[in-house]
Amino acid sequence: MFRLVVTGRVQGVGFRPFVYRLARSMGLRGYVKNAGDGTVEIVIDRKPEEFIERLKKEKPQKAFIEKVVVESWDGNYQDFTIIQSGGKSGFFSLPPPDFAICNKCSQEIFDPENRRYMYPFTTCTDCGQRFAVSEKLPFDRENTTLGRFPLCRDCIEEYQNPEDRRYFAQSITCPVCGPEYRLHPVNLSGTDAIKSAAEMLESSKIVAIKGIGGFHIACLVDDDVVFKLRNILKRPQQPFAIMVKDISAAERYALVSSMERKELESFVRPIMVLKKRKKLYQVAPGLDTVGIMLPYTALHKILFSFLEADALVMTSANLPGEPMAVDWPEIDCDAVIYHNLKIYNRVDDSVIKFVNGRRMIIRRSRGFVPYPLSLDVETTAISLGAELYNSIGILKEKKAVLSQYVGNTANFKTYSSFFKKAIQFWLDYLDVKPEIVVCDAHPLYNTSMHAEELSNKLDAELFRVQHHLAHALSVMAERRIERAIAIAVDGAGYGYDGTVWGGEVLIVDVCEGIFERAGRLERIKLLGGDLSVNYPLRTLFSIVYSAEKSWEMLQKYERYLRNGESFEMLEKQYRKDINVALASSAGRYMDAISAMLEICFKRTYEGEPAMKVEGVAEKGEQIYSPEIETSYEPKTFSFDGSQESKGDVMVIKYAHIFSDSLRKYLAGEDRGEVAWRLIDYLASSLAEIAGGYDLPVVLSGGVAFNTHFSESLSRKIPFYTNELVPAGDNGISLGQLYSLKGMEVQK
Amino acid sequence: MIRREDGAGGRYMSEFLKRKIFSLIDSRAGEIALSDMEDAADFDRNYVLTTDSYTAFPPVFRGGSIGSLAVCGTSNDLAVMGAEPAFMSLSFIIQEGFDEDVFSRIMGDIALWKDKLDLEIIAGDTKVVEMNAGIFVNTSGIGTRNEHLEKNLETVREYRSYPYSWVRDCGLSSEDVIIVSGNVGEHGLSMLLEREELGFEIDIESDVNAVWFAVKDGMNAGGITAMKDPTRGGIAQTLNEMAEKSGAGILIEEEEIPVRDDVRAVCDALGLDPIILANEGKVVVAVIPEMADDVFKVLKKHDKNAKIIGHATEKFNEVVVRTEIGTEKILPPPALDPVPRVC
Repeated sequence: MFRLVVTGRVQGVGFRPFVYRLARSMGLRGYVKNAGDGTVEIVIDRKPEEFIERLKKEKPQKAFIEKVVVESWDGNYQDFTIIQSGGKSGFFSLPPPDFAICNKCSQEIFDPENRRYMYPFTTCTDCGQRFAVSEKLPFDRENTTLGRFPLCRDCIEEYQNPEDRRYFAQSITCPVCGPEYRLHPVNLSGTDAIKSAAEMLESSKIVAIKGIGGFHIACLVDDDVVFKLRNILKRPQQPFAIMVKDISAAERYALVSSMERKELESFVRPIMVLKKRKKLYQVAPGLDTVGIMLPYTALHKILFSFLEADALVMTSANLPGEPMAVDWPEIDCDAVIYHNLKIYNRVDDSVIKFVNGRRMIIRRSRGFVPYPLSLDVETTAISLGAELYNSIGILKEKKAVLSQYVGNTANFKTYSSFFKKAIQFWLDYLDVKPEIVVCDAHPLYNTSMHAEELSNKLDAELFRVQHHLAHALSVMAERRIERAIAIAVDGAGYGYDGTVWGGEVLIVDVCEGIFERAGRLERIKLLGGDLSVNYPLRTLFSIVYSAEKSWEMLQKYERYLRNGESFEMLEKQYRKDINVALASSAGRYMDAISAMLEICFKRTYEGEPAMKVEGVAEKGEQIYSPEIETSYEPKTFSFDGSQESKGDVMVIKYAHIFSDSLRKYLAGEDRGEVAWRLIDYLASSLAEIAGGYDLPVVLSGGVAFNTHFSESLSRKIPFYTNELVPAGDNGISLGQLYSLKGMEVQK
Repeated sequence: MIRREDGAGGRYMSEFLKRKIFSLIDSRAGEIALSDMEDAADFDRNYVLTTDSYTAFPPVFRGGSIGSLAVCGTSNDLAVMGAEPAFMSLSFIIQEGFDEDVFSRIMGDIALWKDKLDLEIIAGDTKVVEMNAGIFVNTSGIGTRNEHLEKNLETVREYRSYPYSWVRDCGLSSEDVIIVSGNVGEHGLSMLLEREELGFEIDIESDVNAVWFAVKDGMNAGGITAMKDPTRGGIAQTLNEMAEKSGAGILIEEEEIPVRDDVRAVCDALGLDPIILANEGKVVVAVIPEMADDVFKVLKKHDKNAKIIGHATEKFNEVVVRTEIGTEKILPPPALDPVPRVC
């Protein structure tokens, strides 16, 4: 006899039934079972080579075999059986993420002979909701919200039959025993409800749709209707995602490369940020890209089967910053199509973008959570992320699990009814008693303030980790690198000197638990603090004024000032330092470009000015070479910020480059080229500093999503960037956990 | 090294006080201890004591002077306990060479407010120093138990138990209605504009005033459970202190906060928030819901801009602001300098 231990993504993906069928077809005897540590144990009586080969070749679509260890085994079996697993240890028996509907189920719902014809909850071993309905571990039906729908006889038969593709599938239901859709305020249910919702959508109505992880709000891709939706959602500019009927529809709206197509069709079924083919003015105002996804549930497919339209705007049904609705949308819409299956865990759509050929996750949620990541740190901890694009991280037994996307914790509802509850959920779910709580170094983030409370409650130590250090560590954690030079570029993070950081070159040494600020952008004054972030012209003023000591060159921009504002006043605010913060931020650098090129004067959502600049920039000729000075200031910091020492920090000067660009732009130079040159200058200067060390270079922070920046940087130096978690703040919780490896050294 | 933020109100200051002061000395004579950080403390069934030091630049400003601040401010700290301002001490530290006319103007304001409040200044001290000090004023004040306070406590106790013998910050409970007695942010903004000459065309002066008269009438109506005068850190700081000391949360409606339009416009242009700017003649009052209308009417008689801005709640324990578009955000205790947080 032989005993095989299979490691990889082998639980919850239909692996055992597959093994069962394979062993049976080969006439083998033995058993298969899920082991408590996440592996699968197989015992067979002969033909191990052939069996393993077929195992690897014919494995279920979503399974991933990392390795198979074979050993000889004693035993005597009459048959081949599936042994139900006993006690699983919580952390390793995580369910898979919520998978998009598979091809077989898609066929069934349109087969009039099938008992699941037009059934919007059709799932099988290969697909359907998992994490969204999971209340506790192990992932058995009674521990999910589907437990309230006892299986009917037909379903039980499928569930118990190892030959059936629904064998042991926890999420199956059918029209007889499962949940159903209803339409509000029209009193319809089932297929009629979906059909009627489709008709309403077709006649330009706005309809909320309950899905796997929360409520979407949908309407036609039509500028007038989308404009109405913008008013309802109070999102004047933020791009909306669209869901297209199929891949050929996707290609009508956007350019789709083969790599992008593969992502679109993957079981994650993310929103892909794609280059626009149509104007889609109201869907994604002022951007050259649009977010597109394919239908990922039976409901979506059925809905499209009733629609003439090949696409719908499909965005989350909540006010800006609030958590996505899961019970009922508090949004003024024409109709709500909802169902009676409770969404236990809110899961937003994930967002992916190819940045200069690299696949980058912008928002990591549905389809990813709760897959664990390996992290070589020996402690039990929870990290609370930053403020916007929040996620929580849990570390136990050298595995890190990042939570679903939590979002904007500056919003009270998100903070109190999502963030805080998610912390409790994850601690219970994974049965974790953290020894350490990690949070951002910013003293005013709600998450940092909550961290104090939480560490007291859990009697755990509290570590505050500098924002950009955490960004750098998030890539290093993925890559298992212990020493690197990091380019951390984003809008804002609290620096130890009380200024805003965000254009940083850091030498990070995990073994020593220290980091050096090798370089940074020069500091500029943000006039009015956050006000300057919301109105980028203030930032431009500040940069130009610091170079020119006059605002003469900006005269033409006077008309873009807000009511009651004047450049004289900004000058006074600048000179007298009234309500001024200092920032060395790449995000503000991008903002200032957007104002200079008359692209964006008011920021209505995170990253708006920078995204719009990305949209207009066009590759041109590089004319500026990096100008770098040194400044003697605090340079070397311990990971916990408790120790610092001074040294020479390289400072990238750019104010005069902005005024030169402004001069050229006013003289009629092409705005796309001016934009590109400034982005290129940023990347080149950072590369100039980072390239001076014999260390691997890592890139993280929200600016890493900028295609031009990434392209310019890769022409200068090879670098790693985030692949498994977002480079933006959504991935920072991983870096926070990895910082603990450096903290161990300090203790 | 003692930092600026250690004496600027807010969380850094309270951490500093706990670490450096209360750990060494913390006493009580009656119900209220030093570390309770109340506006005044009782040392007898009938008396409360407070003290405050004043700096102001410029020392004479539109709407008043450091003299009016010194009398009004200290009397306000007594009034928000429900005590009637009765006695004061007065001390000066004056820089050598300080302008005598300016000093007379300051003394004139002190005499004026002393008369208005009908209180006695019975002890004092004056030092002239060589260092660059301008003028510092310190006043201590004694307030007395009075019939209005008794009436108020009686009314509160008709509805709920209230174990305190003065109006305490910690007296706030869920459902209490929060009233602010007039427009906010004017002292802070007026001083800033006068100091910096930013060239705004706005007719604004400090709101320095004694709140005792409004408080007295409010207490006569009855039902006030907590009061504070929102000086440094503005109403943002005051509301946070009330919430923290009482354990109740406070929900504020952003559009109900009374702010003059021109004040809002100037603040907006500078990126300032009127709710974190200092006031010197306003009071934030919490009232049991049943009596809220009565108290509100009385306060409105004193200042037509008085406004109900929100209520206390047990649903959470933070200060939360509902914005004009209907979303909610936490209002943290203000930091000294702007700390940007937007990415």
